[in-house]
Amino acid sequence: MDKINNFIYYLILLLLFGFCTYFLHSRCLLVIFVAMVAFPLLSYIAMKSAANKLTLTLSTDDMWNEKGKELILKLGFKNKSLFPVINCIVTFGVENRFYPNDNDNVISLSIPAKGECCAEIPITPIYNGLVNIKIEDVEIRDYLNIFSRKNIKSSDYHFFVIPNAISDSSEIKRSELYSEDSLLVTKNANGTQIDGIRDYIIGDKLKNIHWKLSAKKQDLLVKEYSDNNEESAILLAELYSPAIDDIIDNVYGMGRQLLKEGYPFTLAFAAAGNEQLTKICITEKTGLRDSMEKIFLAYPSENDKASLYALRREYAGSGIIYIHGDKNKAVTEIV
Amino acid sequence: MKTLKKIIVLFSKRARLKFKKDDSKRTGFIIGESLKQKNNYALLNLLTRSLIVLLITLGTLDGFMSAFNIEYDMVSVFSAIILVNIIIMLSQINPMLRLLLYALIIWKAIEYYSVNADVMRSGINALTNMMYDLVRVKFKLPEVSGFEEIITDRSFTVPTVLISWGILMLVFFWESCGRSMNIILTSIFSFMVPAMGLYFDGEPELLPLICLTSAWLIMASVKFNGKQRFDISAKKQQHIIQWGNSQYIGRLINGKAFIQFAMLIIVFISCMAGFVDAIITQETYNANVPESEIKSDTDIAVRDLMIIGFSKYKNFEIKGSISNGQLGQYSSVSLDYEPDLEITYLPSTFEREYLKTFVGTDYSSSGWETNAGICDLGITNKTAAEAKNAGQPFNKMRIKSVGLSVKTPFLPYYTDISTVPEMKYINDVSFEKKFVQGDEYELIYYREPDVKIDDSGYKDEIYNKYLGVPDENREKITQLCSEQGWEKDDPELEEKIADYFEKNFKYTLKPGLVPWHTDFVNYFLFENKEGLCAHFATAGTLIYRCLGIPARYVEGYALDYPLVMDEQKILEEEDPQNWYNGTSPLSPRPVTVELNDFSAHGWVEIYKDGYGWVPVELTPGADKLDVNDNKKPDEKLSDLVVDYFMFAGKNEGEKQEKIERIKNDTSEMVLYAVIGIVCVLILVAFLKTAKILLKHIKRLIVFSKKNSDSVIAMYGYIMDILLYSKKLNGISHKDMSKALAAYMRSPDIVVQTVEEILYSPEKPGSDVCENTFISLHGALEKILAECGFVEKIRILTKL
Repeated sequence: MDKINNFIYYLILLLLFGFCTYFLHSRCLLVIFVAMVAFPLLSYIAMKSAANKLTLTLSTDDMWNEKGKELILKLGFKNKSLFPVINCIVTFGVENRFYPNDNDNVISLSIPAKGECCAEIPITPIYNGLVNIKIEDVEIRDYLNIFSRKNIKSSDYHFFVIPNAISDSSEIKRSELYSEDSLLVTKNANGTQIDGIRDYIIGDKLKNIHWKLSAKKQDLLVKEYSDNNEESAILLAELYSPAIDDIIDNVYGMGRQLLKEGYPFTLAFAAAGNEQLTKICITEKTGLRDSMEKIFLAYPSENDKASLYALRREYAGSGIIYIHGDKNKAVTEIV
Repeated sequence: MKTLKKIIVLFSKRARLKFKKDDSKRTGFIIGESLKQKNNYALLNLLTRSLIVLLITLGTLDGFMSAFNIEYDMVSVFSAIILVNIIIMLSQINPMLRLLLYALIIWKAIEYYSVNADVMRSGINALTNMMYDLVRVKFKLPEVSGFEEIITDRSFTVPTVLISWGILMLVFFWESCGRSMNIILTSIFSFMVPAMGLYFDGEPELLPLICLTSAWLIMASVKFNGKQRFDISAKKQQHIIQWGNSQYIGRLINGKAFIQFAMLIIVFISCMAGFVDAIITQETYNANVPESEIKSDTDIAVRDLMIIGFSKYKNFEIKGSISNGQLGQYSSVSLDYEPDLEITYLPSTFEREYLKTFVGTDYSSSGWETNAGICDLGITNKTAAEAKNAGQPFNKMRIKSVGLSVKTPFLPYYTDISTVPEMKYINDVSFEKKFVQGDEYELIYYREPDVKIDDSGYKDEIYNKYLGVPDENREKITQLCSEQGWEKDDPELEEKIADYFEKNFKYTLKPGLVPWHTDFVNYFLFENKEGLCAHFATAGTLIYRCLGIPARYVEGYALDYPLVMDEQKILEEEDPQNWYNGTSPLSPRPVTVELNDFSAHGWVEIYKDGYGWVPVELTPGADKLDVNDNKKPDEKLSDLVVDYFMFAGKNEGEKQEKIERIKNDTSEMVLYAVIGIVCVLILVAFLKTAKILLKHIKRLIVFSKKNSDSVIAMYGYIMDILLYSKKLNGISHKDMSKALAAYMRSPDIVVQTVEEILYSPEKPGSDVCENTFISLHGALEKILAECGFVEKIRILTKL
C-alpha cells in the first residue's frame, strides 16, 4: 500500500512539475523534469545492486541472559554495493521455546555504501527459556519506496534466559536443609565423607584445609573426601505445568542455594521422548547453568509422577525436593 | 472483531500501553522499549539536513535572481547565508536554543529594518524595479520611473536585502524541511519564487534549479521511506508502533548512508541535467516545443492585472509630457506640473501654437515609430524660405529646456532652420543633436505664412509614405468614414471629424488599458471611446490616411494664449521689434512662460498640396481651456498618507508640511467620528428607552385588569424590586411574607392568595384577587417611596 501511495505521490509531483514546465515554457525546467523522470531508474538500479550485495548478522553480548534484564540484540548489515540503502526493512520474530508466538518485529535500517550498519534493539525477556530469533524477511526498498526486492540471505540466532541471580523463590528454608528428620543431605561437606587427613599439596582447594588440626600441628593439613552420592540431595522438577517459568525459577533458586551452602545435588526431570528421567549431577554453578540449557531444550513430559515414584524407590531413605506446579504457581515440597 | 479491537486499542494511549503489556506477557518479551539511539551519526545527520536546507535556500534565492537576470554579489550573500546556516544547524541540538536563536534572528531583522529602513527600502525597491524590467520587456510595458531608491548604491542595498531574505528563508526551511521534511510546503514555497521569473520568460541558470531539485528528491525519498526516524533529539528515541501482530521500530537514519545518498542524488541530477542540457539546446527547444496556449491566455489577464496593479502606485503611472509615440500601455497619465520648457516670445495670435518634437510616421498597435530618411527637411524649410522671401512677418522664439530631454528639438511650425545652425537636421523629422535639459536656442519662424510652395519633388514620396494604414484598421475606419459621410475633398472635413469626436467621445487622463492583442485605434474608436490627446490624434491620423490625405502623428507642446498670459513674465528690457515684426502683437513686450505637462500635447499633421504640413486639432475641449487646470490640484488625504510613508525622511520640510495637513484632515475626521458615535449612542438610548417603556406599558395593561394575573404580575414585580434593593432574603413565599410585613398589615393573607392562585385547583374569586392586588399596590407605593430618585430610575430601567 505504501508503494502505491508513494508511486501516486511521485506521479502527481511529476505531473505538476511537467505541467509547470509546459505552462512556463522553460527549457531549464524541461531539463530538470527529464532528470526527475529518470530518478526512479537510478533508484531501482541502486536497490537491485544493493539487494544482491547485502549480508546480515545477528548477535547478543552473551548467550546467557537473566530474566527481566534488558539485553541488546545486534542486527548487523554489510553493504558491499556502491549504492547506499536508505530503507532496508527487516522483519524478525523473537520467540521463547516455551511460549510460541507469531508476533513480528519490523525495523527499518539505512546502510551506507561499502559499509556496515548495526541496529541495537533492546529486548527484555520476561520468561525463562531458549529464545530463538528468526529473520523472517529482509526487504530492500528503493529511494522512492516504490520498488522493493527481497534478500533471501536470512539467518537465525538463539540465546538462553535464565532466572535472575538475585531472586530466590525457594520455599525451603536453610534450617530445613539441615533438619535431622528431613535427611535431605549428609552432614559431610559437599555431600561426601572425610576419608583421611594428609599434608597440603600446592593446588589443593583452600576450603579443604583442616584449619583446626593445621593450627595444632603447625602445618597445613587437608581433608581427603570420598564421593558418596547416595546421600546427596535430589531435586526433582515437574516441568509439565502452566507454571513452568515459576518452576524453573524455583529449581534455579534452590539449586543456587544448595550450591551456596556447599551441597551438590542431582537434578532430575522428565523430558518428552525419554522414558527415563534425565538426571544431572550438579556440583558447581556452571553445572547448574548447563542443566538449565538441558531443561530449556527438553520438551516437558507428563510422566513425571511415575518418575517420582521410581525416583523415590531408587533413593530410598533420602529426601527429595520436589518442585511442581499447582495451577499457575510453583510449589516446592520435600517428599 | 479482534482486529477491530486492536485498531481501537491503537488509538488510545492508555489502552495501547495495556495492550502492549498484555502482549508482552503472551510473547515473553518487551522489545525496543528503551530504544536509545546512538548519536554516532547525529552530526552527519545534522550536516546532511543542513545541506538540504542550504540547497533549497540558495537554489530559491539564486533561481529568483538569475530568472530575473539580476546581478548581485553572490560571494557575500552566499557566505553570510552559509554562516547563519551553520549557526542554526548547531542550535538544532537543543530545542530551547533553537527557539531562542529564531527569536533573536527575527528580533534582529526587525531592529535592522527599523534602524536601516532606507537601506532595506531602497534594496527592496531596487529589486522591484529590476524585476519590473523583465516584466516590461515581456509585456512591452512603458518605461517607468520605478520605486524610489533613496540609497542608489545597489551593490550595497541589494545584497543587504538578499541576506536578510535568505536568513528568514533559512529559518522557514529549517522548520519546514530541515525538521519535518514537509515536501509539499517546501517545494511550493521554493518553486514559486524562481517561477515568478520563469513566468515572465526569464531563464534561470541551471545550477540553482539543480540545487532545488536535488533537495526536493532527497526530501521526497526521506518522506517516502517514513519508517526511518529523522529526529535528531536522540534522548527520546522511543518510536514504536504496534499494528496487529507486528511491531514497527523506528530509528534514526544512518548519517553516513544519508549523506552518501544525498551526494548521490546531487551528482545524479547534475549529470542528468548537464547531459540533457547539452542535448536540448535553446534552439532545438524553441523549434520543437510550442508555447503553452494556457499561458498565452493567462498572459493577457496577468498583464492587465499587473498594469492595473502598478498603475495604482503613483510612481508607476505614466508621466505626462512626451511619450515618443507609445500608445495604450498605461491606464492613466499623471501630471507633475513641474516646468519642462521655458519659452520666450511675443504672442501675436489667440490661436494655439504648436511646438513639435516627435513625429510618428508608421503606426502599429503598440505605438508610432519614426522612420527617418523618407524625405528631407526641404518641404518644411521651403515654406519658411518662401515666407521669408515674401517678406512676411516673422516671430522669434527662445526655447530652453528646464526639466526635459528629448531626441528631437522643439520647433514651431515653419521654422527657418537656417536660424538654428546648431540644430543639424537629418530630415524633416530627425535631428543630429538631442535636446537635453539645460539646452537653449533661438529661432525665427513664420506663424501663418500665406505662401504656396512647389512640392513636386516630394509629393509622390509623401503620398507613398503617409497613407499607410494597417489592414485591420482600414476596413473599419473606411466604413466609419462612409457612415459619417466624410470625404477627402470636403472643405469642412476637419470640423466634421472634430465634431464627431466632441459628441461621441470623452476626453480623460484615465482611459484605462487597451486589452492585450487589441488594436489601439479600433479599441478607442469603436469600443472604449475615451482617451487623451494621443488617442484622438492617432485615430485622426488614420482617418485622414484612410480618406487618402497624407497625415502624421505629432507630439510636442501647445502654446495657448490664455495660459501664456496667465503665467507670463514680461521682459521689459527687450525690444519687441526683435521678437515680432508683424502688425498684431498681443503683448507690448516679449514674455517668458514655463510650460509643464499640462501643455504637453499630441495632434495630427496633414499634408496640403502646395502648402505643406498643417497641424489639425481633433482633441475635444482644446478650445475650452481653463487656466486653473494648469495648477497643481490639492492633494487628497490618501495621497498625502501614501506620500508620507513612501517618502519619509526624504525632505523634512515637505514631510512636516504633509504631517500638518494630515493632522488637520485627521481632526476633521475625528469630529465626524465623534458625531457618528454620538448619533449611534442616541439611537441605542432611544431603543433602550423604547424597550423599557414597552415593558412598563405591558405591565400596566396587566395591572389594570386587577384579576389573578394582575396579582401574580404585581407580586412578581414587588419581589424583583425587593430582591434588587436587597430587602428580600431568599425567594420563597415565606421570605416574601416576612419582607412584605413592613409594608402591609396582613402579608400572610396576600401570600396565601398568591399561593392559591399559583398552586390550588380552586382559584380565589375576583373580589379576593382585586383586594389582594390593592394591598400589593399599596405595598409597592410604600416600597417605591422608600427608594431614592436614583434607585427609582435604576428600578424602572432594570426591572
